[in-house]
Amino acid sequence: MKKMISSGLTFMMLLSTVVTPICAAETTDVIYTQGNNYTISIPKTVNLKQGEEVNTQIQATQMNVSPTEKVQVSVNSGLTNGQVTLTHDNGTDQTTSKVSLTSNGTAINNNSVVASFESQDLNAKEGGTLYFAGLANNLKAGTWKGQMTFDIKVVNK
Amino acid sequence: MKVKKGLTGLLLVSLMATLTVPVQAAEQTTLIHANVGSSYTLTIPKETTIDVNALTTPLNGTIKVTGNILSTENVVVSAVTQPLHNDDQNADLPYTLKNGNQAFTSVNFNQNDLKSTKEVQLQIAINQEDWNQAPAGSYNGSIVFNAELQ
Repeated sequence: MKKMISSGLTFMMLLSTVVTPICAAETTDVIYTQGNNYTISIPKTVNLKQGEEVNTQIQATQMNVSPTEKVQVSVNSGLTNGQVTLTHDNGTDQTTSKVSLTSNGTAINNNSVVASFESQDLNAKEGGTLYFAGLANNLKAGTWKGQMTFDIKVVNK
Repeated sequence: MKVKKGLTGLLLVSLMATLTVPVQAAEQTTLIHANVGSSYTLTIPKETTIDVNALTTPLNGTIKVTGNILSTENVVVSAVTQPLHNDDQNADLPYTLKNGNQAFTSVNFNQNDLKSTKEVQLQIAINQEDWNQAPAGSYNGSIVFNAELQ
């Protein structure tokens, strides 16, 4: 008799398992978005020379942007008619140097794109080198200073 | 209930991805420098002939400095005289280098002087007594000028 009860109990449990409702099939989308990630190195200082062109590089040390976008470096301010102005320490005298993207090339202006980078390429797709024309040879002795400001942003291709 | 949990998980993943997107605009400044070093040229007379018994003889040319220096700098020109010496008689003829009535020691040229026509005329002064005692013969000497940026 005990054996029969035991069988009956086992049966009921099995039945209970079978009657558990089957849930509808579900799908989980697994999504990961890798954000754009980049590091652009803008030269902190450029030392110009009298009568001799000087160039400097805008470099990427880390680059990972989506295929539909690119990192763009442009001149925000500092140029007037394609020239950067340097002021003598005396605060009065000024001189200028033409800035271009090629050696002895056409002057650029504020808002000009000076470099762009794409994908994971550390090499500039366009631009990347700034050329500063040699300064006049008759400058007063002393230190002359000026500055340029650049914008770095991600834009659509 | 299961469906709800799944949705919540999906939203969370999406939110986290959005938060990790870096700021996509930046501004950087480059300083443009140029340093023009000071430079100058000292001009001195090459040679002067002194007439016998001349008490004062201007050097055959002036002392002048041209160039490009800072407003805070000066070019200081000084001179060291070497005796007028008679090799045959092994004798010296004393003299003094003068700037006007004063013995010359040094003269300053500032930034404006280098761009102007400032010139200094120096003279050789020899006392008559020294002329009188000078043994016959030819005397040769030299003056060494030194220019220093200070």
